[in-house]
Amino acid sequence: MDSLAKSGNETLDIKESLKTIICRELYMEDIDPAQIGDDDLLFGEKFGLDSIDAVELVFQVKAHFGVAIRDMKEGRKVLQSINTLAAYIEAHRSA
Amino acid sequence: MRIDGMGVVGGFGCGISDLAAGMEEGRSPAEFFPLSTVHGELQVPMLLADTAVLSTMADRRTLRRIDHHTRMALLACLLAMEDAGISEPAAESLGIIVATGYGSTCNTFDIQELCPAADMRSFSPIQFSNSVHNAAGAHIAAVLRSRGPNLSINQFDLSIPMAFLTAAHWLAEGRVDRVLVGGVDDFARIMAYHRHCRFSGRQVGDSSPAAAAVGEGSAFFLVSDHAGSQDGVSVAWAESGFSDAPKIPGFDLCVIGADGFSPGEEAYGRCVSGPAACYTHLYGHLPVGMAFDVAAAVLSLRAERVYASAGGGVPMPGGPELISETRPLESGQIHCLKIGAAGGYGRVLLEKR
Repeated sequence: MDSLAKSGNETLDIKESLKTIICRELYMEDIDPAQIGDDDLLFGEKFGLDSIDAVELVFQVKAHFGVAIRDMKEGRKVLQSINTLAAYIEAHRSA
Repeated sequence: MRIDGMGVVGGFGCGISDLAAGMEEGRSPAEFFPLSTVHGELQVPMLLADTAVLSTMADRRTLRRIDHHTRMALLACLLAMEDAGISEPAAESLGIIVATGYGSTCNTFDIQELCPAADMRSFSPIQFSNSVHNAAGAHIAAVLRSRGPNLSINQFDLSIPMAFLTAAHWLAEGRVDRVLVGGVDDFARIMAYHRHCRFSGRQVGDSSPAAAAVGEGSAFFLVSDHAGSQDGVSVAWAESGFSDAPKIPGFDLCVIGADGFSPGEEAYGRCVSGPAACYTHLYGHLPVGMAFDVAAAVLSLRAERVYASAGGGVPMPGGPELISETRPLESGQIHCLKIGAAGGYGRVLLEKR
């Protein structure tokens, strides 16, 4: 139970960190981290992120979490939303 | 080559009205800011540009990845278009020429400092893309949707006359109908430290040319072929060379770019025998400072008056006599002259038709 709770908190931390990274490092000054939903499409109309942001996000994930996203096909799935990104980081951080 | 509009941003403020107000006032707007050095934090006078107004002139999402260097240039371009009364120039027929002495120094130095260190974590792709030399020109073209020729020119403090000369060629060849030509330079920490070592005994407000604070900013001009036009201010001549600077006719006003940083500035005294004006106290020391001299000359020609020089005309050792009081302009021509730090000179001649 404790490890489950710990795991849940870690995931929550990762999600909050990712939202902050997206707002700060991608210069989304007009968006508050709280406005980013866990399942929102990151590369859709809502946030207007593009391929340059994808490259920056891959770099930031490596810099902050030590997790590399090397495969382009995999990257498409991983960068879909906060939930998919957090799940990938969690799965690969301890691996 | 007619100047249809101009836009400026620098330590004096934003827009030609702020530059004109600064020229009227005659006082240096430099302020002390902290500068981190190996000897600790120093208080150094600077002339810094504020680009906050840009967010009201362009889409914030478009601006989000654009750094301070490019923001200054973009703001000056948009102000130049506003001054010319043009909202959207024809995409195919607009050329862009960005002159810069340092390029995006803050960004580039930040990246260079990271390179030898183990900490490469902050070596961000966006930060790197902004350090690319033509980043400013590319961003300006993207915002204005320009598909015309786009060029960055770097000839240190003689970049501006070369930029004007290139614009004149493009127009003469019929490659474009209009050119946005101007200069931009970031505040350079290294030069601020150099300035501190050299002039630390001087005070803010001391507006003699020998004490120009290190500055940053951008000045851009929207120019077109003036054939057939009956009025307005035009660039009649632009040149740079590495021989002795030409003698300026004694009856013409000459705006000189003396800022105290270049060796051999007494050369101004040898080639300017007539009235001279100097406004480096307003925009400071920066390689493309000559762009502000051109802007000041355009303002003088438009208003048909000569504004008093720095500090009301503080004489420079060996330099020409500076105009100490604002007075009517007697000639329809103004020369802008820059003696280069590495020798040579740049000259731009403006005339009112």
